Amino acid sequence: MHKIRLIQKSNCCQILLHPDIENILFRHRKQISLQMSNIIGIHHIDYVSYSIITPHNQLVIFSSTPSVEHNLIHLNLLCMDNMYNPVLYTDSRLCWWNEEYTPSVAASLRKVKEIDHGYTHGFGFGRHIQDVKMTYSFATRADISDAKLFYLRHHADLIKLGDYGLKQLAQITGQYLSPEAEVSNRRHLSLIKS
Amino acid sequence: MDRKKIAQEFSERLILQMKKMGHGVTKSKIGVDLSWLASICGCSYQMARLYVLGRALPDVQTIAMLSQSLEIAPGRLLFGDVSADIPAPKTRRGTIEIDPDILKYILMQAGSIFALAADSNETATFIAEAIYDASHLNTDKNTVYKIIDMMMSSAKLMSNYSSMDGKNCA
Repeated sequence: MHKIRLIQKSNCCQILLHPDIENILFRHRKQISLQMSNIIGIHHIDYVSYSIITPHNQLVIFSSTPSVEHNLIHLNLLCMDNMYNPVLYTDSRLCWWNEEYTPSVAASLRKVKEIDHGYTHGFGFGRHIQDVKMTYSFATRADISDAKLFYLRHHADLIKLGDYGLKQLAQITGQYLSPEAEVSNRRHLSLIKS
Repeated sequence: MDRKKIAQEFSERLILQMKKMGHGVTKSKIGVDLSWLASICGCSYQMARLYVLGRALPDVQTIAMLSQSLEIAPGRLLFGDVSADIPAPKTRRGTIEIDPDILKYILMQAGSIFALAADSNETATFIAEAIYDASHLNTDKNTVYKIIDMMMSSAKLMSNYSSMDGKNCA
């Protein structure tokens, strides 16, 4: 099982990837695609993802481009990218993807997350809503001359956009965020690895 | 064209392309990884800094090596968007490379989704996204097929809900 170990000051808590994380990425593909299409394009955004800690302390991810996260999980790189550790973010400060990578595997993370998809800038921030810890992550393929300044200027918009997108996905996220969510939806298809 | 101007414009394109290819750094004022640049050009850190500042131009051989690493045509890196504006040799942005069997599998499945769909434009967008996802998955073919099944079943499920809603309305 994939494990992400998070150390927060003196506390040490362990968060596991949801056992069904790879299936969750693709199981709701159409619904996520439809909802994310309302965000994609605004401020040159080409990618959006939400990393959320469930009440069972498991990480679930909902992404507009799930192949990014699938490859990170497959290559055991997800736990080396702080952007997928919502517990580490205590505020909504804008962070840049390349600053959140574990230095020893930064080149691999850059390749899988940015170069393979042609993203020129990636960024995100933490968001805590009603005790639910999340990170919102965005990327663009646009050539923006001073991207940092551009997105810092639109930070408030990004938070609103992220909140809006999440609200649109409430029906999906609710399946995993309610305390009773432990009983999985057995009707769904799942990946069986031989 | 004035050599000074060429050097300045070259540096702008170099910085942009380095950032694009993941060699940007936020800690330094220059904004790109000079150590990486020096190692690719086979020059000192100071010389790499001059390239980035637009105060020096690399020789032809160095530009050729650099353009290969940055996946951009040498002419474009040196002169920008003029007649040398040809696609980079390794990566052609905006294009998708996909195994023909996988593409065929997606298209076979897409037929039933189009049949159920109320909005063919929205469905076409979804199929294009599914093709993009499938082409970017670093996994074995069988897993890709299973992921495609999952994506397609999400579309079928939505179409079923929509048609049920339609019947209820009627």
